[in-house]
Amino acid sequence: MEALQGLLGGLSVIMTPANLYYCFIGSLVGTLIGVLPGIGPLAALSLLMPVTFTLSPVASIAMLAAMFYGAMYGGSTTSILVNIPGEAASVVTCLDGHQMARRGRAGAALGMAAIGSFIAGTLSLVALTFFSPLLAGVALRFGPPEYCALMLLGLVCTVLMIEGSAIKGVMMIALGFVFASIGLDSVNGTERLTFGSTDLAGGIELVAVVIGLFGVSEVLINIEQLARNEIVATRIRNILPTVEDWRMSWKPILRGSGLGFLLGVVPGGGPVTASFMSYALERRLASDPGRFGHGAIEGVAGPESANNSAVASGMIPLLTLGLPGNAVTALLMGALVIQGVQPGPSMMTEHADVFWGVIASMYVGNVMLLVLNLPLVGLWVQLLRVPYAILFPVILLLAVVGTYSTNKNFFDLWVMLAFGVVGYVLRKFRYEMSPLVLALVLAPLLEQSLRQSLVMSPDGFGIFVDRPLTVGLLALSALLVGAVAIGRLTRRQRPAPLAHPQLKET
Amino acid sequence: MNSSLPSRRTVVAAGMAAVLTLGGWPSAEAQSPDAKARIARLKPKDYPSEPIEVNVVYPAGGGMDINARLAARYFEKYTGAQAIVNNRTGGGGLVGHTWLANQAAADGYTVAVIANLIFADSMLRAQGRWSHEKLEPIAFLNSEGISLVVSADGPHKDRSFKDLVELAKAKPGTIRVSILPGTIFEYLVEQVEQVSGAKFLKVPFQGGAPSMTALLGNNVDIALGFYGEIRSFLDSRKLVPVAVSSQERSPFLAQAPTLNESLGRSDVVWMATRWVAVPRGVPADRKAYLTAGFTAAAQDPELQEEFRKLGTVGNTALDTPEKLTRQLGELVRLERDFYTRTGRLK
Amino acid sequence: MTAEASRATAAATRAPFAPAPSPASRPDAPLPPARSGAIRIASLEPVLDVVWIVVGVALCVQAWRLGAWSANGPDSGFVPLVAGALIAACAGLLVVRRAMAPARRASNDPDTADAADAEPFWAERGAWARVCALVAGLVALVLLVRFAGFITASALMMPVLTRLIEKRSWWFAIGIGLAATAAVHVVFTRLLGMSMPRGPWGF
Repeated sequence: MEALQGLLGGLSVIMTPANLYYCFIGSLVGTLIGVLPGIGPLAALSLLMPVTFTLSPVASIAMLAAMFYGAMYGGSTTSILVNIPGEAASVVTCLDGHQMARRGRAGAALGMAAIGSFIAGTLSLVALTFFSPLLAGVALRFGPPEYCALMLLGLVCTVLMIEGSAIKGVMMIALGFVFASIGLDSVNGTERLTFGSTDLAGGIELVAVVIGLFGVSEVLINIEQLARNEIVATRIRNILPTVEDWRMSWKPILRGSGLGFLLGVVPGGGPVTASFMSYALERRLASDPGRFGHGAIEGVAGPESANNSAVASGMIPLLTLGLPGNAVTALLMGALVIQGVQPGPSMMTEHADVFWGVIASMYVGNVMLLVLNLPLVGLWVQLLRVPYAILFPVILLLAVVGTYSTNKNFFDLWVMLAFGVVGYVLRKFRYEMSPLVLALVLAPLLEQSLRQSLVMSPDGFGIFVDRPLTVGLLALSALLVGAVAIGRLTRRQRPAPLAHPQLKET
Repeated sequence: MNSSLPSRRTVVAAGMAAVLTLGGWPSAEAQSPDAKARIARLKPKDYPSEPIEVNVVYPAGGGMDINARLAARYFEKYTGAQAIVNNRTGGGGLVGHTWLANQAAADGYTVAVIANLIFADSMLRAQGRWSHEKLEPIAFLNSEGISLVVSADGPHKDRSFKDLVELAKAKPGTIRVSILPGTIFEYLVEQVEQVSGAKFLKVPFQGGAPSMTALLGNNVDIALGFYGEIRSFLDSRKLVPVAVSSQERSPFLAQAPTLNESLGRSDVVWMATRWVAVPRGVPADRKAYLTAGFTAAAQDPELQEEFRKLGTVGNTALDTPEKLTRQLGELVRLERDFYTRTGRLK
Repeated sequence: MTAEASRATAAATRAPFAPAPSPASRPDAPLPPARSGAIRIASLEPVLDVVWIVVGVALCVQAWRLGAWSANGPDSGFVPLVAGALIAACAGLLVVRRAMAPARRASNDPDTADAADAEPFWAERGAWARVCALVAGLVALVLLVRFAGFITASALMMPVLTRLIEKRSWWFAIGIGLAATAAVHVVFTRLLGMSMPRGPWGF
């Protein structure tokens, strides 16, 4: 088969000591970036891009791409250990991952995150290898109305993720929309809610919000108590996942892979959206959703698989169409162009060695990352024994540096602090932070595609029912809403469940 | 300026013609060893002691960014100093432009690679908070026109731009064009509408890549983009160019007429021009060093070749800041005219 | 889950570690004795709701000025208008619900936070002071990073923050602070090649 031949050719290209070395460096640095809160793949890739000028195209992209998906591996680490996401795609991992850590199961969570990431990444690459041209066509079918419907689906998933008060959750989503609209209007370029400040005209940086809402507020909440020692005082059991964990996780991993793969192909989708849609899906499908938010391993396996899968499939529009779907792939495109390789429809024929070399490097990189991350689980778990007194100052410093590194903009630091305080206050009042962050991610594209669609449309909202793909996605949203509504209505009839169901003796 | 000079329009037109046809003549001064020695003589004491920050107000990997990184690399080659590119993104360039105008230190460690898009921000969006005058141009990099393309599989594949304009006149609002709101992409289409009486449906996008995606998926009829963004699609015959917005036909798209040709006008010219600038107030010796370094880089035949591959045109005739400032002054005047005429500027 | 595993889990969760700030506490737990003068969450919630309503209305006003609808459909102000209205409406709903529902601990309605009703806002004495101090410390850190450069700011403020987080000896605080500064500096400047902000004295 042609694709298989190409892949073997690519493997022969990547399997040189030099190329393997750079792939390894990328994986290592990527994991580090993922672990460090604040600094994300985009900032790190733009810092290290000049290094690639002297390298061959394959080595450059192999290294940069490895940093990207390596960050998805590492991002779950701080989410699980200290409830602070390594980057936006690991926010949902905090929900259940950290609870698992508090119950002495950090090793299982970390291990499952790594293994799930590997399986998902590899499956996604296999699909990429054999189905890229087909999927490229799908990516093109997505116009503004389809994006709008997809983002609406994401919004529905966000609402589904609300655990506590629905009213408070909806308020957080609305607040997310408000923060997303601060800055320049994407459709007509006017300033909104900026109050004359050019700093605000640039919009609110997502990284600063995530670090503030989850990182700074976490530290503030924790220092309320005087007598703490470590995060987990009990014995830490099971460095690796048990058979039972596997039984519960293998389906979420497969589902996450599939979901992430689909969401990664669409330009504008990506690892963040994939991770929380996977979480919402797993929660919807679980037989006892009450476990979610209290240490359900599916809540780690699914999202972590989804975000890795989305990274791999995100390369499809870039390599086959020359259309970068997000900021990181846009950077990769720039790196390729500087090397004299123009990504796009002609890349497979004109630069087949680079095309297949990059794909092969991702297979190799995934293996390297698994081999790198699994033994590290034992090390990370020991971090839980480190007293707060040492851990939190370091986290705060990393938060400041990481946030600054994103844009080299001091304003982001003030944003981080502001959201830290706001996050602290709201969390005390039992408001959830995840819906706010997810709304912040979804809102820009949702609003933009809605307004674009209406501009394009000859008959107003009619455009949403004229196109089959849009109708399909809207129907899916409606279906989800319907299923949840029915679920809630039937739930009202049963006695209210205990807040901590696993404390029941079974 | 005295009145015996040719009209402003002709000056600009001639300048643009020069830009497009004079590219690629390496002057003797740019030969490596002489230039390097000359620059080394200009080097002030104890400077630079840390890397020079080359600021770009657009995201990494984009057209501006690539041009800036190339320029930085060649600057390093001629000066031996370190130049690191920093992307200050946000607000379509507004955040970075404001920072450069208001906060950037004039100490010789901050330079910027900017495009004429700063004029729009300065005149229309700055609202008195800053002005492009705060940045002093020191070296010209390149310029290019905007290409208008249609899909090779779409309903317009055999139409010329003139045909499309006629269609848009006959059936207003049916031909969908992708624009980036608040930029020359939008103003270009607006001017075409004004001079021809046609009415397009302007669909807003946030960048070249999303608009190409939309075009390929038949969600818009005409897309606007730079050569670097469309080259791969031209090579694989997925897109067909219908017009270019420069004064002369592009050497890379010889079959596409200029907007002027298609419309029978001489004033529909829109280019993206890129240059290196520093905040006003940099000490003279450091400024001279930076000027020499970036000018030598821009004149380097290898860099000119790289720029050519990206579809841009350098211009070795614009080799002093004074000439560059004069050239840019003309661009500003033309833009200000347009904004005043269209009511954006009172 | 096997019986043994679930019992182990139950034991682990009852172990004395810092309780997680979860959305709802155990409804069957006995009411903690109120510290004298402790402010309860329940008494502060109405304040927050008023804040929400004010914010929501202010947003609606701003959005209206931007313009909510145009010939092409929703305009710049559309999203802020809807969001602001939603915030104000939801806050109003919370107020109404709280007024209507009796303050019973048995009810599990998370909207009115009944289960957490009686919990004090700051459970431990001096908690509010520690939080405010840490916020002040962070503000100082950010200001110093801006005006004095990263290394100075970190070397000065990290010991202070360390001591604020947990009151151990000053030697401990200074040690941790300087070690953290050095480690972060090395990782970010050497490994990742990032340039950190410098102060007026060059570093």
